[in-house]
Amino acid sequence: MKCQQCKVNPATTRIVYNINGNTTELNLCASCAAKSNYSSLLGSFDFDSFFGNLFSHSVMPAALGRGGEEQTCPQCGSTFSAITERGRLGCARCYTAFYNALLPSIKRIHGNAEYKGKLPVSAGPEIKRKKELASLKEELNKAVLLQEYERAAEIRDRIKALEGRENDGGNTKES
Amino acid sequence: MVEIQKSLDVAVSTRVRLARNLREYPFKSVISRAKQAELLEKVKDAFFSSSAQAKKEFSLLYMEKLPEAEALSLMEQHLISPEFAKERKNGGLLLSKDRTLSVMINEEDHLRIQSLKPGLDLDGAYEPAERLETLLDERLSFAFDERLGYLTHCPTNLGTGLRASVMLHLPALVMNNGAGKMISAVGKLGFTVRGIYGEGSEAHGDLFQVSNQLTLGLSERDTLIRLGDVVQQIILQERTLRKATYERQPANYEDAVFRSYGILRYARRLTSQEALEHLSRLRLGVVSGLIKGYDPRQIDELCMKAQAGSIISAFGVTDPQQRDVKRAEFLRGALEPA
Repeated sequence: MKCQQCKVNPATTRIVYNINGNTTELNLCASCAAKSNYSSLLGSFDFDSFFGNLFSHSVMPAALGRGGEEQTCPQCGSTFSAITERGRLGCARCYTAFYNALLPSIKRIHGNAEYKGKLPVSAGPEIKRKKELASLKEELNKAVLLQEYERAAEIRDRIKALEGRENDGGNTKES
Repeated sequence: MVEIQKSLDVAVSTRVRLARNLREYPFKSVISRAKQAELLEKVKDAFFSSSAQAKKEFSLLYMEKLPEAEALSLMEQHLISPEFAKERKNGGLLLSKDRTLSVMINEEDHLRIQSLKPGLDLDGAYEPAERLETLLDERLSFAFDERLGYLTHCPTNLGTGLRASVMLHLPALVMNNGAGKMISAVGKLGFTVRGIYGEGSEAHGDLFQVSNQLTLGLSERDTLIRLGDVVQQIILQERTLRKATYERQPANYEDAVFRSYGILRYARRLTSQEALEHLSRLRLGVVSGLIKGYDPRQIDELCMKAQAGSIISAFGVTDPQQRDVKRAEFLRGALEPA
C-alpha cells in the first residue's frame, strides 16, 4: 500500500483512530509519519484535543453560577472551562461539583449507563445492598429469558430476603 | 495445525489494568510535584505494610532514577505504558518478581494496577489484579461515586477503570488484507484495536491489541466475557484463514515461513522492524508445525528483547547501526537449535 499522504513511498505506519466506536485508518510512510509526529516509539497521538471536542458540546451554562461567573471546584479550584480545555478532571470532587454539566459528555462516551461493578471496602452497607439488589434483578431477568425457572426462583428468594432486610430496618426504627 | 493451550497459536498475551485514584489527592493535570512525591510514599508504605508476602514478592522502582533505555525496555515488555516511560518524574513502579503484576504510581491515574498472562486468559489475568486492588483498597481511600463508579482523571476510564486487552498475532488476516475490516467490525461492537504498544502505536509484526472501550454500565465480569467472545471470534477467523492460505498455495506459505527463519538464523544486520516481521513469520511456522523445536512463548519473548530499548539495556550499544548488528547476533544465538 502507498502512503496516503505523499502517495509515493510505501506505507509502513498504520494509525487507527477510534472515536466513540467509529474507526478511521491512516496509512503513512515513515517520513510522513515522522512529520505528523507518529514515528517515535514513545510518541502517541493527541487524544486530548479529541476529548476536548467531545466536551465542548456540553451544556456550559450548567457550570455557571447565578451571577454568570464561573464556578470552581471547591477542592482543586478547577473551572469547568479548564476541564473542557484539557479533557481531564482536576480531582475526584470535580465529578460532584460539575455533575450536571459533565453528564452529557459522560453519556456520550459510555451511553446512558449506571455503574455496575466492584464496590470499594469503604462503601456503606446501604450502597452494597442497593447494588446487589440491582444486579440480582438483572440476573432474574436473564434467567427468565433463558427459561431457567429453578434458578429464577432462587434469585427471587434472594431478592425477597434483601428487600425484607430493608423493611425490617424500617420497622425497627418505627417501634 | 497444532492445538495449543490458551489459544497460544494466535493469542500472545492477556493484560488487565485497573485505574484507581486516591480521594484526597488532585489528579495528574492539577497535582503539584510535592504532592505527587507524597502520594508515591503513601502508596509504597500502604503496600509494603500490607503483608510480609508483599515485601518478599514485590520491589519498588523509582522511575526517575532509571536510565531511559531501561524504561524503554520495561515498556517493550508491556510492564509500563509509553507515557510512563517518557514522563518519569515522581513515577513509581511496584513490580512483582515474576514480572506478571505491577502497579504504576503517578501515571495518568494515581494507580494503574496491571496483570499480564501468556495466551488468552482473561480470568487468569483479572483475578490477581483484583486481589492486589483489594489489598490496596483496604489501606488507601479510593475515589468512588455510587453512580459513576471509580473516578478517573479522564472520563473515558470512569466506572470499573478496567481495561482488558488481548494481544493477537494475525499474520493470515494481514496477508489477506482483512485487518481493516476486522478493526471496523470490532469497533462497532464497542471494542478497540490498537498496535502493540497501545494508543496510537503501530501494528508491527502482525500484532494487534483488542481491548474493551466502555467502562461504565457493565460489571467487570461481563466486560471480560464480552471481550472474550469477540477475541474468540477473531481467533477462529485467523485459524480458518491460516488453513485456507496454506491449502491454496502451500509452497508460498512454507517459503514465507522458512525464508524468514533463514534470515533470522543467518542475517548479520537486522532493524527492529525487520526482526519483528521475520519473528512474526517464524511464529506462524512454529504454531503451524512447520518448524520444530521452538515454543511460541519463546518467540514472543524474542520480539520484546529485540526492541531498541531492550538491546541497549542488555548490551549497552546505543549507536543504531551497531544495534542492528547486535540484534542480528542476539537472534542468531537465541535461535541456535539445541
